[in-house]
Amino acid sequence: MALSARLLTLRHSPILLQLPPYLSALCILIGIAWLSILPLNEYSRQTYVSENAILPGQVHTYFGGSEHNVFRAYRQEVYQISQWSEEDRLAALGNVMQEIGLRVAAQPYRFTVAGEEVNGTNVYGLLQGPRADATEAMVLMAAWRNFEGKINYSGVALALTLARYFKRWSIWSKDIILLIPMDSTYGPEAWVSAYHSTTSEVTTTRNISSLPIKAGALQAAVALDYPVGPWGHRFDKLDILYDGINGALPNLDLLNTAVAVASGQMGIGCSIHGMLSHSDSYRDRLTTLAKGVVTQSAGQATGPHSAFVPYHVDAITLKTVGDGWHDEMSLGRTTESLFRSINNLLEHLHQSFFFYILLNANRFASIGNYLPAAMLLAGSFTVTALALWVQSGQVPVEPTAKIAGTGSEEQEPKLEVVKVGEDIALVPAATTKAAEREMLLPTAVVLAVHLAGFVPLYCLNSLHREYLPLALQAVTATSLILPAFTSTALTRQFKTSTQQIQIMQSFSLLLLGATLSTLATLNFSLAFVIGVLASPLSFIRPLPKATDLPFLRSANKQYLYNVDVAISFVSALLHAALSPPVVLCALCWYFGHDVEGVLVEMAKGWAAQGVYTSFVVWAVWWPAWVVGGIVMVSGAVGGAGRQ
Amino acid sequence: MEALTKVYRDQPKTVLFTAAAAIRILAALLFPALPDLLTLRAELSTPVNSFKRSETVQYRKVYSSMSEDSTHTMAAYSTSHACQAQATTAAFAVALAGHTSLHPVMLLPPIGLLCYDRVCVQSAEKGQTSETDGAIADSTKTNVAVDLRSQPQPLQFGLRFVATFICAEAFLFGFSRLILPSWRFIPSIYMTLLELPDLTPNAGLWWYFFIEMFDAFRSFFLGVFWLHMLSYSVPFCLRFQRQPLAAVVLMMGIIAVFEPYANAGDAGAWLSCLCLLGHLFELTSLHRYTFPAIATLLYSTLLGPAFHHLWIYAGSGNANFFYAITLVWSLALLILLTDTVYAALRDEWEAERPEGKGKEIRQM
Amino acid sequence: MRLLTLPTALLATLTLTLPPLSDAAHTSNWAVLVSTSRFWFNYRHMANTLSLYRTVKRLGIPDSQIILMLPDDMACNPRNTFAGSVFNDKGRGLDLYDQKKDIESPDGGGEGMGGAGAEGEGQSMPAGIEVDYRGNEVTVESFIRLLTDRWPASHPTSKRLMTDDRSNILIYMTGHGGDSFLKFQDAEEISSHDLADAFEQMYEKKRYHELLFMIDTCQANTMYTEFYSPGIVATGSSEKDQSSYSHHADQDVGVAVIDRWTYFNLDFLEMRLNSTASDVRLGELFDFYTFDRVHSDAGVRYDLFPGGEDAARNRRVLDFFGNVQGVDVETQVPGDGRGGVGDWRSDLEVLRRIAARQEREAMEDMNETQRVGDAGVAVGERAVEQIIGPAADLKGGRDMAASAGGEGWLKKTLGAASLLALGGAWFVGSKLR
Repeated sequence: MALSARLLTLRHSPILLQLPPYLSALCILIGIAWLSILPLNEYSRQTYVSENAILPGQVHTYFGGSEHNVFRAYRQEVYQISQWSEEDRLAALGNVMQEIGLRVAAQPYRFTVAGEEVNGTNVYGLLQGPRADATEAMVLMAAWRNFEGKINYSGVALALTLARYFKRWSIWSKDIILLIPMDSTYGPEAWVSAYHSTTSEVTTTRNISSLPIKAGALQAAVALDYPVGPWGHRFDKLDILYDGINGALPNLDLLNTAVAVASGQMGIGCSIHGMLSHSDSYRDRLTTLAKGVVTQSAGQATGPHSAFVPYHVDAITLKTVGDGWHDEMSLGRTTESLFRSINNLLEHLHQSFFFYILLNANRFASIGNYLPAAMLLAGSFTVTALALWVQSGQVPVEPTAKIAGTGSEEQEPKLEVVKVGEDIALVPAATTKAAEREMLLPTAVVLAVHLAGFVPLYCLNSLHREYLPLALQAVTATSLILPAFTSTALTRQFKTSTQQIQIMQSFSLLLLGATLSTLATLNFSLAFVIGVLASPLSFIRPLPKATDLPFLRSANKQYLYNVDVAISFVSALLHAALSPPVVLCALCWYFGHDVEGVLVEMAKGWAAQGVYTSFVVWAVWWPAWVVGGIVMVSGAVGGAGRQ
Repeated sequence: MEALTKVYRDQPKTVLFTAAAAIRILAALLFPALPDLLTLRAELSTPVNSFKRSETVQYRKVYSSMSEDSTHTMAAYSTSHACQAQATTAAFAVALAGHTSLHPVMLLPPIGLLCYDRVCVQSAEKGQTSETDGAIADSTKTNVAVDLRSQPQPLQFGLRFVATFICAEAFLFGFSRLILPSWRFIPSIYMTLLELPDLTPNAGLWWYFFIEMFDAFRSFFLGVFWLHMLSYSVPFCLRFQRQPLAAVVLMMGIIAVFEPYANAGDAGAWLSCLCLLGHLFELTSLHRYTFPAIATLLYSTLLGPAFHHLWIYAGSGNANFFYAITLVWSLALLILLTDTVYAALRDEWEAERPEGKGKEIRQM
Repeated sequence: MRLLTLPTALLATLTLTLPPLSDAAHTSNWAVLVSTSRFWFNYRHMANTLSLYRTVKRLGIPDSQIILMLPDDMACNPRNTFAGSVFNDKGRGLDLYDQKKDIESPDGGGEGMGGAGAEGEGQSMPAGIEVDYRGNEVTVESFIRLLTDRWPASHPTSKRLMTDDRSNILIYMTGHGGDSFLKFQDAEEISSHDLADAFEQMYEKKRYHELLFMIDTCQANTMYTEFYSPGIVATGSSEKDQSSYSHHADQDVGVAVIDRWTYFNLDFLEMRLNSTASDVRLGELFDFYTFDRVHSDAGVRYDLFPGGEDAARNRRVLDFFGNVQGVDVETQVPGDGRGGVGDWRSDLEVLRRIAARQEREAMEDMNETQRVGDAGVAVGERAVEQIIGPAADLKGGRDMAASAGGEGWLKKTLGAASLLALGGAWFVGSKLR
C-alpha cells in the first residue's frame, strides 16, 4: 500500500513527466542492441535433439549401389518428359509412380492472384507402410520447378528413386506420400490445404480440388531441391530452408535431425540462409541472424515446405548448394536416414523449440533470449502512451476557461450548492468537470484512420498486377497528403484542443504497442522490424510555432514565418521518409528487387497463402504513422485550438 | 462537414449510440457467419451461454431468447427498477436472471438494499413535500431530519423482498416445469455451474485450476471458490450502505471476474455498468490506475486470442500461455474493481470532509 | 483399558518374538521380471528383461514360476527391421523372442548373451516366451498387487506370485527412473517407499524366504534405500545423480539394444553359470560390476540380510537364478497368507499387524496402538467394499433431447408463449407493488 501510494505521488512529480521520452528512447536502443548481443556464446546455445524417440543417424543406410543406376535412369526419364506437354508429363509421372507401386492421384488447382489466373496440377502417390496403422504419414516432396523456377530434374528423380527404394522396406510405421507439385508455392499450398480441408468448397480466390487419396495426420514433410539435369553436378553443402508462412517455424528438432544426419552421419556440411562460408565468427552469426529476421518478417514462402508449417506440419527443404564432392547418393542416404528418424516418432514433434533464431546450422537463440528485444520496442510505445495520457489529464489545471463553452451552465448552480450545504455528496463532481478528458473525437479519429488502412490493403492486394505500381504511387501520394489534410480539417472544423491531440496520439501508440507485442509472439521478426521502423512515432509532438520558441521572441515576423516554414518542411520530409510506402520502396531498392515484383509477391502471399504482413503494414503501422502525422501537423496549422 | 460538426457538438451521445447501433446492424448484415465464428471463440463461448454445447444446456434451448445477454438485461432491469423503488419487479428480475444462471442471486442483497434505500428516500420525500410544500423539491440530496418512524421497517422490507424473490423463483420453476417434460432442467442448469463439469478453456480463473486439481480435492475447492464469490455479497452491502448502487455494481464486477464460466461478455456488461458510477470516474483516474488497467485489458484482449491460437492451432504454445493471459485479464479487471471500491469510499469520505478533496492519502 | 489392549500387545510381541527365519534352504524359486517402459526407443528395456528371462529359464526356473511383465511388444513394432524378433546384441546371434532358432543353430549365439544356454538345459526348454502381464496391464497397481498377492478370487493362478516363506524370489526391474522413483509407462511411477512397504507386507505375509532385488535404471540405487524388511539383498546399476547407460546400438535395428549393467550381469551369468551345479557366489557377481564395465557406480545393499554382508555374498547365485525342487512337509504357520489367497481378512490381519508394530516402535503408548489398529481395519474394510455408482438415469435426458430436437416452429411458439407468459408475470409484478 505504501508503495502504491508513493507511486501515485510520483505521478505528479515534474521530473517523472520529463522522463518518458528518455525512457522510450532507452527501450528502443536496448531493444536494438539486444539482437546484436545474441550471437555471443553467452546468449545463444548449441542445438541439441531433445526428442527421445527420433534417434538421428542411428541406422545404417543402404541406399546406394544399384539404386544409383535406377536414379540415373529416372533422371534421364525426367529430363525427357520435361520436353513434353504438361498433360503428357503429368501422365508420365503418374505412370512412373504407378510402376513403383504407389497409389497415384492428381489434384488440379487454380488460384487468382493479382488479377491473373494460376493453374497447375499436383501429382502424388501414397506408399502404404505394410505394417503401419495408417494413422500417420510423412511427405517426401520434390517440386517440378524449384523456388527459383528451375526444373528440379535430379530432385524429382531422386524422390522417385527413394520412393521405389522405400517401397521395398517393411519398417514404416507411417505411410509415405510422394508429392510432386508443379511449382514451389501454389502447388504445395493447394495440396496441403486440401489435405486438411473437410470440404471441397471453392472460394473466390482459389479453386482447389479435394484430394482423391488421403492418409493419416502428416508428421513431417521434407522437400528436395536439386535442379541438376542429366549431366549431373556434385554439390558442396545442403542449405536447409525452414521458414514457413508468416514466420511460423518447424520444430527445431526436425532441423537438428537433418543437420545431425547430414553432417554427423554423412559428412555433408549444412548451411542456413545460403551462408556457404560460415566461419562461426560473431560477424557471420550476426549476418545469419539478420537474414533470418528479414526472411521471417517478410512472412513469404521460402520454398515448397513453407506452405506446410502453418498447418502444424513440420517441414524443411534440403537444397543443394555450391560445388563440392557430394553426389545424389549422399543426398539420397541423408533423406533415407532422415525418414528413418521421422519414422521413429511416436507423436508430433513437440519437445524442442518452435520459436528460435538460428545463428548457424548448429547454434540458436531461443525465444526467452530474443523476445525481450521486440517487447522493449513495443513497450517504448506504451511508455509514451502512458505519459501522454497523464499529460492530457493535467492540461485543464492551468487553463480552466478553455472548455467553458460546455461546462458553464452546469458549473454555476453546483457552486451555489456548495455554499448552502457543505455535506452533500455530489459536490466534487462539479468543480473538476473541466479536467475530464474529451475522448470521443480522438477515439473516432483513431478508429477511422485504422479503418482507412483497409483501403490501401485492398487496393494493393486485389488489383491486376499491371496496376500495382500505379496503386502504390497513388497510395504514397494519398498517404503523404492525408495527415496534413486531416489535421487541418480537425483543427479548423472540430477545434481540437491540445488535450485531444495528446489523447489521440496516446490511443494510437497504445494500440500500436499492444498490437506489436501480440505480434511478437506470433512473428517476432515482423514485430521487431515494424517496431524499429515505427519507433520515431513515439517522439512526434505537435510542431512548435516559432512564436512559442523562447529564443526567437525578439525576431521579426518575416523571420518567424521563415522559421515556421523551415521547421515544417524538415519535419514533413523526415516524416514522409518514414512512411510505409516510402520505406517499402527504399527496401526494394536496397535489396535490389523491383517494386512490381515485390508487390506481386505480397499480393500472392495474401491471396494464396494467407500471409498477413501486408495487413500489419497497412492496418497497424500505416494508421499509427498517419496519426503521428496528424499530431505533428496540428501544431503548425492549429492556432485556433490552442490559443 | 458542417452538419456533422454541428451534430457532434450538440449531441455527442446521439452520435455515439447511433454509431454503435449502426455498427451492430452492419455487422449482423455484412457478416452473417459472425455468430458461428464467435461461438467458437474460447473467450466468448462457455457452456453456460453457448447453444452449441448442447449436452449440458439443451434445456436452455427452450428459452430460445434467454441467452447470456438476457441475464445481463435482467440484472440491469433489476437495478433500474430498484432505483425506482419497485421492490416486486426488482426481485422478479433478479429471480429471472438467477433462473438462467445461478450467480445473479448474489445480487439479491445489494439490490434489496438499493431498493430499500430508494423506498426510504421516497417516503422521506413524501413526508417532506407534505410538510414543506415542496420548498426543497430538488430531489434527494439535502440533509433534512427525517422521522425514522415514518420509514419502512428494514426487517419487514427485507422479508417481503426475499419472499417476493422466492415466490418469483418458485413461479419460474413451476413455469419451466410446465413447458419442459421433466425436472431435470434444474440439475442441468445449476449443476453445470456448481460442479464445473466442462473445463474448456475460457477467460476465467477456474478451468486451469480444476484441470490441475487432484480429484480428491475437487469438491472442496469448488466449495471454496463458490464461497469466495459468495463472501463478497453481504460485506459490500454492509460497507456501502450509503451507496447501494455501488454495492450492486461492485458485486457484478466480482461475478464477472470470479464466476465459473467467465467470458468477455460478462466483463463487457460489467464495464458498461461501471457507467452507473460515472461520478466516481474522476476520482479513480485522479487517484488510481485506471488507464494502466484499461491498457492491460487491451493487451490481454489482443494477446489472449494470439496465445489461444498458438496453443490450439499452431501447436507451438501450451496451456500456460493462455492461462497466463486470463490471469492478466482478471488482474486488470480486479484493479478496476479495487479502484472503484477506493473511489466509492473516498467519495463518501470527501462528502464528510470536503477539505480533503484532491489530497493524497498516506498510510499512517 | 489396559486389559482391552492386551491381545494386540500380545500379538505384536508374538510377531516380534517369532524365531528368525531359519537359514534352512529354500524350497522354491520365483522370478519377477519387469520392464516398465513402452515405445520403440526403449527397445533395450524389453531386451534386458527378455535376456534375464532367458537366463533364469535356462538355469531352471520354470515358466510357471516366472512372472514376466512387458508393457510393449517390440517384435511386432512396424519399425522393427527384423519382424517378430528381438535381439540383445548387434551380432543378432540370439533371437530372444523365438528360442527354436537358437536350438537349431547352437553356434549362432557366439556373440549373443545367453547363447551358451543352448548347450545346457536349453535343449529341454520349451520354446517361446510366456508374458504374464503385457501392455496396459503393467501398472504400479498390478505390480504391487502381484507382490502382496491381493487379487480378486477370479485372478488366474498363472498370473500370481504363489510364494511362501520358503521361496527365494528374484525381482528384476528396468525402465526409466529418477531419484527414488521408477516410471511405469510414462503414466505413473512407483516410489522407493511403495516398494519398501510392499516388501514389508510380503515379509509379514511370509511370502518370501530370501529376496534378491535387481534394478537397472538411472539413479537405481535410490530405489532400495528405503527397504526395511529382513532377508533382502538389493543391487542397482547407478548411484544417485548418475545415469545408467546403454551398452551398444544395432545400426540395422536403429536403436540401442541392451543396457550396460544388464549386459555385464548376463555376461557373468553366461560365463560362470554353465550348469545348474555351478557353485558361484553372489559376491562374485557383485564384484563383477566395476565402473570400467558399467560406466556408473553399481551398488549393493546387504544390511537387511540375516548375517549381513558375508552371508549375502556367500549365497550361491543359483539360489536366486536357478531352481530347487525341494519338497516341504506342510507346516502350517498361523496367519499364513496362502491359507486364504484372495481372502481380504488375512490381508487386513497382516496390515493390522504391520500398523500395530510400526506404531509400537514409534511410541510406547498402548492406547494409541489400539486406536490405530482399529482405524486400520476400518479403512481396509471400506476399501474392500465395492462401490457401485448409481446408474445414471439417462432416460430423462433422452426425453429432453427428443423434445428439444422437435420441429423448429413448435419450439419457437413455445419460446414465444413462454416469453409472453413471463411478460405477463412481469406486468402483474409491477402492478403488485
